[in-house]
Amino acid sequence: MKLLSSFFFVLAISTSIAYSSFQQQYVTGIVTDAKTGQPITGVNVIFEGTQMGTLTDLNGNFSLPKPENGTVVIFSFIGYLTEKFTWSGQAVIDIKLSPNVLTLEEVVVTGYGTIKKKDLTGAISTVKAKDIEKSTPVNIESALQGQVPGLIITSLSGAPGSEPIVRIRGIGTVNNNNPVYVVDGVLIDPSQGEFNLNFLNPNDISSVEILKDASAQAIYGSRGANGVILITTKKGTEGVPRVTFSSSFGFKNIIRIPPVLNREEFKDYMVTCYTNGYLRTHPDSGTTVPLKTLISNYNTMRYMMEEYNDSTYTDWYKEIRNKNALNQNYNLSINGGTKYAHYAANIGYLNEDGSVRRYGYQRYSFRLNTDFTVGKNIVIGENLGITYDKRKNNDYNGPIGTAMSADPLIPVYQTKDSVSINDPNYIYDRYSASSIGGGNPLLDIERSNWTQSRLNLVGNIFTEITILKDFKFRSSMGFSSVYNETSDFSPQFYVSSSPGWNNPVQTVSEYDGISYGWIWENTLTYSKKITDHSLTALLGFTSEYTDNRNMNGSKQSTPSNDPEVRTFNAATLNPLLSGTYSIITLMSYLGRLNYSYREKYLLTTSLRLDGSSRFGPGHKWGNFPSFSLGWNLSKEDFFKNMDQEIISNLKFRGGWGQIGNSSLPVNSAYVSQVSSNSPDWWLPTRYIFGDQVYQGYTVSTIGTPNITWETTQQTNIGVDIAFLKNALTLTADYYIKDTRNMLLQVPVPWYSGYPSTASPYTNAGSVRNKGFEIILELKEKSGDFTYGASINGSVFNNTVTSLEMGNKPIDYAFSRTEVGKPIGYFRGYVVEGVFQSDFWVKSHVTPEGEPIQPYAQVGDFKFKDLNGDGKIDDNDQTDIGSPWPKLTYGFNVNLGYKAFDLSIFFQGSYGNDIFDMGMWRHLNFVGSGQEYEYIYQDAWNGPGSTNSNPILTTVDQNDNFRPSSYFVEDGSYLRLKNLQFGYNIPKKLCNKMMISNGRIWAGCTNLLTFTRYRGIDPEAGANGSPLIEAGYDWNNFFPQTREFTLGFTVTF
Amino acid sequence: MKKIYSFGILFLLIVFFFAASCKKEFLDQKPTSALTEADYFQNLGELETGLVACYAALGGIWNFETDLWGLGDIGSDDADKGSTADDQYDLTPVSYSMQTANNGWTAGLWFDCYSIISRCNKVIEKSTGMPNGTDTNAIRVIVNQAKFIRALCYYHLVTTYGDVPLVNKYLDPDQLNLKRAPVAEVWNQVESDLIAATTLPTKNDWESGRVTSGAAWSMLGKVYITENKFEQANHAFYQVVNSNQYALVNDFGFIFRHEGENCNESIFEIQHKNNIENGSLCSWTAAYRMPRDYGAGGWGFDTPTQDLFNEFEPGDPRIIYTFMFKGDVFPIDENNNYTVENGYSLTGFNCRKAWIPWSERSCINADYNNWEINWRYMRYAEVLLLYAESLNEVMKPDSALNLLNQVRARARLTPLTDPQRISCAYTIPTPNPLLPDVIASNQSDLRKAIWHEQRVELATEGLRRNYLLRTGRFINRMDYAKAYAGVIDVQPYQLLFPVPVQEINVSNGLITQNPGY
Repeated sequence: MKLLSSFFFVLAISTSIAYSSFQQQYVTGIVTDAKTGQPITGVNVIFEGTQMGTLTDLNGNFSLPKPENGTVVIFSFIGYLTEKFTWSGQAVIDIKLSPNVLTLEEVVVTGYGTIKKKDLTGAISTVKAKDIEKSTPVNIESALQGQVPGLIITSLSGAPGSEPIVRIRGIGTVNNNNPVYVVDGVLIDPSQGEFNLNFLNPNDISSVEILKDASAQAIYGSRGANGVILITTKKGTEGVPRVTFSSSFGFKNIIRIPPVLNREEFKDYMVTCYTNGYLRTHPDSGTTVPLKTLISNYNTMRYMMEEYNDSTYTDWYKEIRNKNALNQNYNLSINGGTKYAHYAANIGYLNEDGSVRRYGYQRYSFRLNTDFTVGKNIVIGENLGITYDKRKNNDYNGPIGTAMSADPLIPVYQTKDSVSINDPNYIYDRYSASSIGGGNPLLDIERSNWTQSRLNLVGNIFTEITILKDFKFRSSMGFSSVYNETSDFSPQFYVSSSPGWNNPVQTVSEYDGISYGWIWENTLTYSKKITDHSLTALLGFTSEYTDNRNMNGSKQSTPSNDPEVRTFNAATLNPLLSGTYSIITLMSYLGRLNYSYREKYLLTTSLRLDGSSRFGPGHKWGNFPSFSLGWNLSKEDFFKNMDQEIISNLKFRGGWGQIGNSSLPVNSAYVSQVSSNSPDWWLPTRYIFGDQVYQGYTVSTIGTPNITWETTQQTNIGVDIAFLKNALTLTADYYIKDTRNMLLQVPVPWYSGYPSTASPYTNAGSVRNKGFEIILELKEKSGDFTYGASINGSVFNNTVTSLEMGNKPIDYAFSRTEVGKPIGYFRGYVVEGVFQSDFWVKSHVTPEGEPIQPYAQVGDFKFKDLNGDGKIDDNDQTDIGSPWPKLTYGFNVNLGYKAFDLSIFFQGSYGNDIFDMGMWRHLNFVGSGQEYEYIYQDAWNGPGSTNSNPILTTVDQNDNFRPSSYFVEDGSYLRLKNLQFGYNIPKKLCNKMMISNGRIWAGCTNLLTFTRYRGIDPEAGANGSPLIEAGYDWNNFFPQTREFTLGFTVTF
Repeated sequence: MKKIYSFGILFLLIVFFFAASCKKEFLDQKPTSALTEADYFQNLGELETGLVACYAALGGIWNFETDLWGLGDIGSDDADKGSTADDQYDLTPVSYSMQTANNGWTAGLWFDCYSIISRCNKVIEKSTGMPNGTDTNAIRVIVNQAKFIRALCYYHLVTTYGDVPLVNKYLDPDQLNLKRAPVAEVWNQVESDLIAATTLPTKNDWESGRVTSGAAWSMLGKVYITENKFEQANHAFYQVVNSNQYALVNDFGFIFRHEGENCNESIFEIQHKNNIENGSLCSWTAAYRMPRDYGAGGWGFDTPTQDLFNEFEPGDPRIIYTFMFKGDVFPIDENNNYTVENGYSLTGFNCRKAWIPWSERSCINADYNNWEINWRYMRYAEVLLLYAESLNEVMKPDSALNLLNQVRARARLTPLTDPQRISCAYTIPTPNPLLPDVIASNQSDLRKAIWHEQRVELATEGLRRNYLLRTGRFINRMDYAKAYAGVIDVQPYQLLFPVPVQEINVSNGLITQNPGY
């Protein structure tokens, strides 16, 4: 435990924590590694027998108030032998610490325990506080992006407070692929109820371990199938109270928006669409059509010309954005303790303004972690985090999508005389309406009052009792409760009599969701070392309870739009109320054995038995075993004789295990249910007889009595190598991950008549993911110059190996999941080119002279007749792309010179495709609204103009915009995710400033992006939710932002 | 040390005691947000709620009714798609009989009908499990209503797709291996369901909205005439006419106004209601079909063709209650009027029967596509004209003429001014005589006269496509009345719509496609 807490302590000081004194007299010094001469950061320096002391800073420097002569100063640091120095009046003392060979290895947190890294047999990656703090992320997911091979994180949305999507080692199931998080032993499953990870202030985190393979995950049995992320928060360490304050300010702007048409281009675009449409329906009218004819034939053209003649032009994107939106982040923490009590507390405040008007996110967080040693053998403690956060407007309200398709010819506001300033709803009614189509994005933003506030309480109380020296019993009661209150108010407004432009009645709505859970974990650990054999055995029992309640209410017609009357009591009509309640319980028995012989041969084996209330009688329990081995080659005698300068460590690892998944989007999938609410919104359950309304009941879900655990079986082999006295390390892993009995909603024929969203879940199908991960790290120093680099990459290959019930493919929109292919590949027609001439169209016939595309005209797409049957039909659809990347990678470069440091972090994805739904949607409405510039400029407009884009026309008999390869784009990108330049205030200056440590830095996130993707952002489309929509970019997500930040940290 | 040891042991004991004792109940959590199906439909009251859901499904927001006009009108010579080119673009091929297997609109009816059928099957299946002593007659009444609704869905399925899977019980997931049943087998099921439903109470004895004996006889007659079983059809229609439950109302325009809902002429109507607690039970059909003019409140679908306009005899008052004309003026409020533009209609016509006057637009729900307008599924005039057709087929021209002329007489009496319009842009001629009684000399002429009357009387009520298919006129009529880019050439295979592609994919080929698609 001491070792562990010291370890956390080291991690906690990356922003420098030191003791400050107001005395004028100091002893200063530097602590270096006796072997390499490198300074050591975070060395604990205390006067023997007191609580007084300090830590060394990033450059190994420390300063202490001058003690009395003869005082013993103790220098201790994890991995080094403790040094005692008797002071005899020196002003400067330099200490060299010798590495402690026995404890040099890092310690890794595993489930229900820790293990030395050298003894590790599974695939676990660790990310430390210093890597997290670099980018001042809002949430932990963003902090991990690109840091760990095999961990794919994508930010779908740049909206303040939105959470990225996390995938570990590929895509195991069509269902929920979200990993679970264990925060100080409390399990948080963000796919369940109201639980989310935004409550966690990244500043509180001391380390994150990602359990990637089965042997590591199996101890979390039922919950580990999608991987487990263990988060340890900062704990108090022995020493005087150390107060640290840090703050940062950033300005951010949307990275990019695809350009749309200006006034003249828009007019020309509309005329082109309608002219071509007219010509197609009036084949005898020559080649040009007078504007007059178009106007008299098409109302849209008439309205467009009327608007055009008013000579207004609005750049909607400019109107909705909030330039230089401000980010602010403040943290104040205190950390310290005695031999018997430790404490760490932090208060954080974060305020993020949106890059689109009226968007924003605020978070207040508080954390207190303490532990106490009672007597010799009992430790009791607690971890508690309280967070309140508030989001204004979510990204699903999608102002970007509206702005990209809004009519550019109307002004933002109506002319002054058409709406009176005395109108009580002036702020809504003043907007102008389009008669062509599309909305007024500013009106949408103004009238949206969506806010979500959440109160999160997560923590645990634990006790650890050492019994008979070798046994340690730990019991932890964890709790997690979230209260989510989401409210909205839809105001009354009247912009125009056209539907959609007015709202006759106000609606007050509110959603309240409460999730509450506890988890009780009891483990008994036995550790023993007898000569060459060391053994750790663990037995445990855990039980878990989660209860989710929610209530959704709305009521209409308030006396006015005034903020004071946006309450249910003020509303008078049409009360609507609905809600659900569910309880999920889980109970588990677990056991694990770690054995090592002379640190050469390592063995880990574990077994977990899980019972879940989600499954029916007789199908509740699942067994999840694992087994792994390691061979520390570098400990072998023959290896010891080799040149340690070149290869200083070499270890092979291999493991196998099974993990379960019980995550179903519905509770009680094992029984059919009846409800007064139809799962299909368009099919009501009430009816009218004789003017009376009667309530009906209908089958709402179809149960599968024998539904049971989805199982993932994973085999992992890995190698850890260190070169050049540990300056260069390499870790590589290869895995095969098979998901079986996938929990799946299989497609049923429509004649079943089942509610369309509630077809039965079954254990159907299996998926194989194969992958390779590598991380290479370099750390070196010469003189005042330090440098480090790390590069990581991962590849995976996803294949569906079976879909039971006859291996029927599962279709979703433009994706298909079928055997032999990756989950959710894009399926559509193949575009072969554009018909350049009438002759070409007419000669596109079968040998019998039958036209292959009978409705095609010049400028239309020529689709590939894949089966050569002389017609283009469903059988000509094929695999046109995959949403899954071939390679994801990241690389980090850290450079330091004296007090300055620079870190650069790139992250990228290669080989994934994006189905550009934004473009698809636009093109399916050709001639009815604003258009992207590239669609207009690249369109076919005569023989030879292009062979890749079709003609712009309102008449599309050929169905040019059916799902096809035309909409599939390369989604590869490389992004300079983060750049930070820092300056550590020298000790002397610190003393003058009466602080013990200080750092100032400047950084930038998302500075550069290299991609060929034409939509808003390549990340937006990479990993959709629901999963089955992966790779669809609807082009209405809130775009990513580029942020410039200045920050500082001071320790008193 | 010893103390700590015993403390630890005690703790362990507590833990494992808990582990052992809570084991069973702790993992046994019943569904909390819904009822378990096995525990419901256990008594008459619960069974009745199942029936309510069957009716409710007929009145879905975007559902069965939408299919009726979408396929029935637009897929015939009566109407074009209307609206903008991109809105519901799958209806364009339906309009010109160029539908392909992937068409979303032709697939919709299949999905919608089977959704309703499954609700009916659940009620019928659960009716056998009522506790002893339950009023068997009351059970039968519930079951027979469900059977009528089921038969109605199969009538549409079999006329639209030909052979269809015959599902007459609620299927378990492991029973989803059906093939398409031959048309004759489906008709048998439809007939027996409707015959059962003829024992239901009559219209005057029951609440509005319920399936009545008269509705069952009417549907049965329509099924028989579709099968060319004219004698049986005559018997069925006779039951309706002779029941004294129905009469033609005096004013044709009245039927489609709000006050005309569930009137004497109504045989079966799908009910809608607004301003009720907890939401609304409205319909989108009006919003779909009202003009897409700026501010008119509609999306402008289902626009009547010139060919339909030409079908009307000069001076037929029904024309102004069937068409909205470019230039018509309707009141908005005391100070404002609306002048019809029908800009998105190829012909400048729009559906008058779907119009909701502003004075009745009382929808308090923010969704203003929702209107309280019942769907007139079947009315007495249709029964009279079907009966006339069937009588003529068995050489009873006098009786047929009598019925036909009843319908014409009512049309004649209908006011020439629409009370809901301020002015009508179409000047209705006043010939003399106006709509004289038909005097036909032979069977063939009388048949044509009846067909003509059916078309003008029932225009844009979602019926036309099946009338053309039933009488073998579809190909000729479409070739004549509709033109797209100059040519329309309906192929015989297109008389049936394609089976939804997903149905074929999911069934691993057990469900086959109609030939030609």
